[in-house]
Amino acid sequence: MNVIEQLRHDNGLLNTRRQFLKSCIAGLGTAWISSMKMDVLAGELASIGHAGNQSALDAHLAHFAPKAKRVIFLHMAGAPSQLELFDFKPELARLNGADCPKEFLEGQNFAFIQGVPKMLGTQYPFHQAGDNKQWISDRLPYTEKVIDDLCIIRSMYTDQFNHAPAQLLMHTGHTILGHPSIGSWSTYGLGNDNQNLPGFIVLASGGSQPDAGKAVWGSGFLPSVYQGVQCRSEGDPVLYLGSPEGIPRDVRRKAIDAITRINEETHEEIQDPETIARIQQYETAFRMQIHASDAFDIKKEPDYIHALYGSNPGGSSFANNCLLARRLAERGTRFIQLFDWGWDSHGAAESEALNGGFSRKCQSVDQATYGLITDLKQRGMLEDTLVIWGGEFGRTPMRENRGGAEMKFIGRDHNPGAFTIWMAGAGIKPGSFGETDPIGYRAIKDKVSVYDLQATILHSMGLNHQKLSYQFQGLNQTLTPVNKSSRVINELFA
Amino acid sequence: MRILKTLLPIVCASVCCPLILSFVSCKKAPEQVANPSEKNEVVQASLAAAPREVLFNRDIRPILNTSCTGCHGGVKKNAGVSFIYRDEALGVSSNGKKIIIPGDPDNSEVIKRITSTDPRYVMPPAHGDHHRDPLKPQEIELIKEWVRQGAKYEEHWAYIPPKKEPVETKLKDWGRKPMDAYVLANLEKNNLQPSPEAPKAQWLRRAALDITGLPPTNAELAAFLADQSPDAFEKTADRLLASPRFGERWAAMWMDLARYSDSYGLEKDPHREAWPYRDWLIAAFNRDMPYTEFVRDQLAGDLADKPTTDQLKATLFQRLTKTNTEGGTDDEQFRVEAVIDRISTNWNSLQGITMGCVQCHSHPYEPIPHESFFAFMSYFNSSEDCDLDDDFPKHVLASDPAEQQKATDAQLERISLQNQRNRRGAEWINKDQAWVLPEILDLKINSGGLKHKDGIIFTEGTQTDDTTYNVTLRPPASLTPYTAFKFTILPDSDDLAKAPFRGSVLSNIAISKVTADGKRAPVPLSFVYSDALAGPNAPERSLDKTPAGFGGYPKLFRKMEAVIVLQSPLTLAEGETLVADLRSNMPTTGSQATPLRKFQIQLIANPGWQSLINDPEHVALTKRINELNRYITGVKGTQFPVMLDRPPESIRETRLWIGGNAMNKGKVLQPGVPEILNPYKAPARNRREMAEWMTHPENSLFSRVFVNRVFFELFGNGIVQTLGDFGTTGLKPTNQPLLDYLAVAFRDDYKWKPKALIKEMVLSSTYRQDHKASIELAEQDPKNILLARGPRTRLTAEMIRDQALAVSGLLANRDGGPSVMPPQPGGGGAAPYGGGWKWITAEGPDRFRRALYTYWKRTSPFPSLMIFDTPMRDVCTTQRITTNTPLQPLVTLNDPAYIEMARSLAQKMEQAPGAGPREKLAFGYLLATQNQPTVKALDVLTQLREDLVTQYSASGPKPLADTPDQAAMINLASVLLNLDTALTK
Repeated sequence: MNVIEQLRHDNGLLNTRRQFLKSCIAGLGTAWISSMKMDVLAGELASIGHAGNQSALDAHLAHFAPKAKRVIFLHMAGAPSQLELFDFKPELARLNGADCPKEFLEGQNFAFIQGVPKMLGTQYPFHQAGDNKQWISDRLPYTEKVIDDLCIIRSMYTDQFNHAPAQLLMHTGHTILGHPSIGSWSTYGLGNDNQNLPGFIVLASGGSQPDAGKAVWGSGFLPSVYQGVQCRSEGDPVLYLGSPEGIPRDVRRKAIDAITRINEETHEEIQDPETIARIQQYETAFRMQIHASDAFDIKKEPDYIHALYGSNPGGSSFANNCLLARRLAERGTRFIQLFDWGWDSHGAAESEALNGGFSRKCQSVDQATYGLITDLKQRGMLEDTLVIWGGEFGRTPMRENRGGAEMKFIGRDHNPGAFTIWMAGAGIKPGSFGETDPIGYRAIKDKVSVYDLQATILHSMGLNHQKLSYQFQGLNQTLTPVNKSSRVINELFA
Repeated sequence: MRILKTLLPIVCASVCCPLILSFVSCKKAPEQVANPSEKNEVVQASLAAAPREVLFNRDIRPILNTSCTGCHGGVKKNAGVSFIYRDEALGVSSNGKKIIIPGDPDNSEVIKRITSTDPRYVMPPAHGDHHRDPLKPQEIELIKEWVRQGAKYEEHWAYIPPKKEPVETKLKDWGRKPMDAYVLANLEKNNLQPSPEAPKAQWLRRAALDITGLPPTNAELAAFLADQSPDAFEKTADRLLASPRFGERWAAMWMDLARYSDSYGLEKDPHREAWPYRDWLIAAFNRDMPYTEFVRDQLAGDLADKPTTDQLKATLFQRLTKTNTEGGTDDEQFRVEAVIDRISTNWNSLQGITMGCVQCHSHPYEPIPHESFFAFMSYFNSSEDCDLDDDFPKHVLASDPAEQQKATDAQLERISLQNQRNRRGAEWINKDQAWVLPEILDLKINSGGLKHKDGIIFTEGTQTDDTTYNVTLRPPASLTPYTAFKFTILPDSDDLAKAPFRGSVLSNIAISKVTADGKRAPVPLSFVYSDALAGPNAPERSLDKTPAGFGGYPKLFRKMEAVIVLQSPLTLAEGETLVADLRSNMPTTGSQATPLRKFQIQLIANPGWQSLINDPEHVALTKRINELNRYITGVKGTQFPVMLDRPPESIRETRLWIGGNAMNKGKVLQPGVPEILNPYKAPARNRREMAEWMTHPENSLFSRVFVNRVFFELFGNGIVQTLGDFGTTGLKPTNQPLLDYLAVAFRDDYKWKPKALIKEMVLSSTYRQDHKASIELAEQDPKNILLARGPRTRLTAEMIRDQALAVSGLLANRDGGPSVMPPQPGGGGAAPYGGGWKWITAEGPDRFRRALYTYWKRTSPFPSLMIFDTPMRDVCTTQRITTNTPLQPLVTLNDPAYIEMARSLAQKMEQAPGAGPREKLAFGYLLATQNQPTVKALDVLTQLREDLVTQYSASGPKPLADTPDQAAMINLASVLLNLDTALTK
């Protein structure tokens, strides 16, 4: 399906849904949401457009064609150190061990640093790699192999310096609970391509959920149908997907047929359109049981693919999740959100220290991300899949001195002023974007805020971040708060 | 102030500020869809020869809100023009044009503009960022006519108090209850007839689920069907309303508004002891507490003259905000977020007005000025809670109900006596006191530097979270004997608009006398008075070895002073000096150190300070406080977070946030409510009075918002469909006379008693209609807004679970108590970082409690309820939106809990009286739906059973059951629980 067809299809889906809601014509098979109550929502959709009765969604879909059919967002929860991976700072190495100059401390808010900390030079050697001569450290040898596919953005910044609010900000555009995540906004705006799979799927690795909990894939004030569905690599991939033991598929088929026949009779008698919708959802659920189980079965992948990702069927790992992400992307899932926990390198324990667990974290994601990019590319999917890698903020060029004292291991505190992410695919121009100051403390050139990133992601999907809105608490709420400036970073696109 | 930087994002997090972007992103009033015919009628009338009166609310306001006020309203007054207030609209624009001249449309600038054909002159603009569609000819005519008739404004309908209007209906003998006449009149206006009465069973199912959240049993159904007495319906309604299950069903509704959860909400998401509030809700509904009292206690129960334990439990409504225990967080950021959350929650849920806009600027559509937000904030800005990890302040709830009030009284008495004792000293701190600055001989500190200038001691460099100071002092010899020290903690700045400042705590102070040859002797200290008590730590804690003590914790809001009284007067010999050893080791729960950064030590020789301490009043107070401490510590029970105000001398200033920015604070605002909503001039100087204002009988919104909510629960649609927005941006009522009748009846006839209101609704002829629709009716009114048929809605998430439990006989009807953890697949999943928290699956009857008792963890809410549209409960949700998704069948078909219920229901069916499988299936069908199956349905079920028996005989019934018959029946039971008629009421 080409882009224009895609647009027509999405538009058609929306219109069909709306028509269904308005006139209650039975027989629409594919809408995930179909409830009379949604009429309120449909009414609101129609009222969002800033001129006349045209829907905001129709309008902006017509404004520009999407570059990305889907998004895979690899969130390194805890915030990996840009200074040990992508942002090479010789000046910082020179200052290693010196007292932090006062001007860096005034008016600053740190999570744990007290008083005057010491500067900390990069802990690992850097070199230039790829056609674009990009600086990268020796911690990511696999990523280095696909570095010419990435656009490394070194000038990211945020305004939150604690994990939960910063993660909320990254995914919901707000630091308080109750706002929809970007994946929810995407499915709200674009619907779902594969009715047999949820349109927004979340996969977590690293042993913990993100700090902000399920709110980072929550639907906030949007109807809960838009929330991300967390899937697991063990047990039922989607909660309740598997039929109970002792209820084989043909039994289930017969049971659903019986439900349908009785419900059809109910509908004839009562004429409640919801009954028709329910009949359809039972059919879809039945199909989902097969399709989703199949999508999540990475055993079906050949050995060379597992070798590419470093994945191992049966367990739970970031590599397995990357492979799953590709399988879901192939099947039309709109937004695939991965979280990998364990990047919070304060130096408070060996497990997370820059001179300890950090290297193991790098190893655990390096090959898998390389595998994902390579695999998408060899399948021709990278051109319409946007892949994003990064954390919720950066880390300080100062060494953390928790409680005002030198710590046993080496680590860095949270730094909202600068961090590095990379993006790839979906028309993103490989290379680099933005710069930080000589010590990597502040983004100074071509700065990209979290809001800019969100606007850019929505843009790549063909959505206008200022128009994709929903009425709540008296306001037309958007992903990026309207009082924050946010712009699509057009320079990133080829 | 660096810490406040982090507040900036929260400030506007939930709101918009269109000052920065063009108006497109701010809200546009939705088209009023309620009664399209009405508008057309008006338009036609206005074009007719003899124009009827143009009404502002009906005819003009919708046009203004759609096309004008975006740029000429509360936020933007482009060219000095605003249409929010009449006197502004009749004024002069910034380029000197008279905007509206009543009676003279031709000379009114507004008419010239809207009728202009010049694209540079016409309004709304044809081009540019602010462009809107041109006004329709009818709209222009209406505005002209309105100006000609005098440009009269009307208050928004919701701000005009409701009145019972008499209604005329053609059909005379239909209605059983007063509300029916209003429904019928509206039907007749739309050329519709009511539907016939529903079969009794249909009504019973609907009423039982609506009132108690549970379906009737087969026996209850049979008894009701057999009861031919004229008051059979009323008796049944009374029975259901009297059931203890009533409170559970309606508490579940309120818990969405209260954002009820059993955890804090972020990161580690610790447990919160919130269930006493849930139990209070259940009890309040069960005893039919008048709605006014119900709300007053939730707003200000703690400020009652003599609060009861129940009134304190009710205040948990305010405390169910998020608390952040993440390391490195700024407690003030999350304290203020909680305050803002309270403002939106109270307004949305109780008053049906969205205040979000007003946080950053005046309301674009309502006459509510920017200041109103902060005046209202002031009611909540001086409570003791401050995002501490332990959810301080908390109230000890005795497990023994007989003990509860006594324990409450003791805790309240303790607070009162502590203040009483402190005030004896506080009033003297700066009254006729000759405090003297000693000479500072030496300063030492264990981290960073310590200096002094003009008698003020200040730090430099890094202080750790355990900082010690040694201050050597030489007081003037003339002044002796010394009786007390004054210890002053100074903020970083004198500009209180920059408050709050970083925390600063004197964890410990010890004074020694040092002789000329260097020998130290401790100077015994006796008591600490502070200029005001506030926060979790009593000032005298500075004398013990704990980190707690006098100071600003976790934040310093202003200069603070303490007087440390010596046990006995102290005289220094020649050459003797004093050393004050200070320690600061009370970091905030977010790991921020709270060292003394700027402070002062003074002395005095006034013997009055010792007299204060030795006075019998002080001694008696101390004795009583100690007794209370011992008693309270010994009370067996639990502790729940409570609303508690700081004493008046410790209130936090509330200032305007200019542009909604916490970094840019303006003038100090006094507590108050928006004038437009207080035409009855109720005093509202404090939170208690605000609660009186809110629940005042003349409040035009209070009763309407609640009756509308109850109506929504029973009829599936609100009369105002936007339950949380009765403002000009919400939808208009679909039947205002009905809404107003109910609002007035609830207030005047039913004395705010919810049960009486619900009773009128369920016994009404409207509710008793059959829910069957003809194809024509389903097309004409698909959502059943006009109610020409009985309501038919999907069960709520709670009802779906509870019904399945009840029908299968597994339901454990136990009242209240801590929330329970029924089985869920995957055991609740991994906890977020640092949680160490686990879903400990309940055993025994707690597996099968009603859904509202399910442990609600905000970062990981119970999935099977979420899938059926329970909100996350992070924020106040005024309305659930019912969805219909394929994940729902997966729950009711596959969730092991539902299989367990199906198994149990199958057993019941097997044991049912009657001969063959057909009878057993009919029995189960009746149990699940209160309907007799049709012949066809029964054929389908019987056939399915036969097929499955055959199949399980071939494949073997295990592991599902022991016999093919059982295995088939479990599947049949599952089918019954999944029928459309079982999932709807």
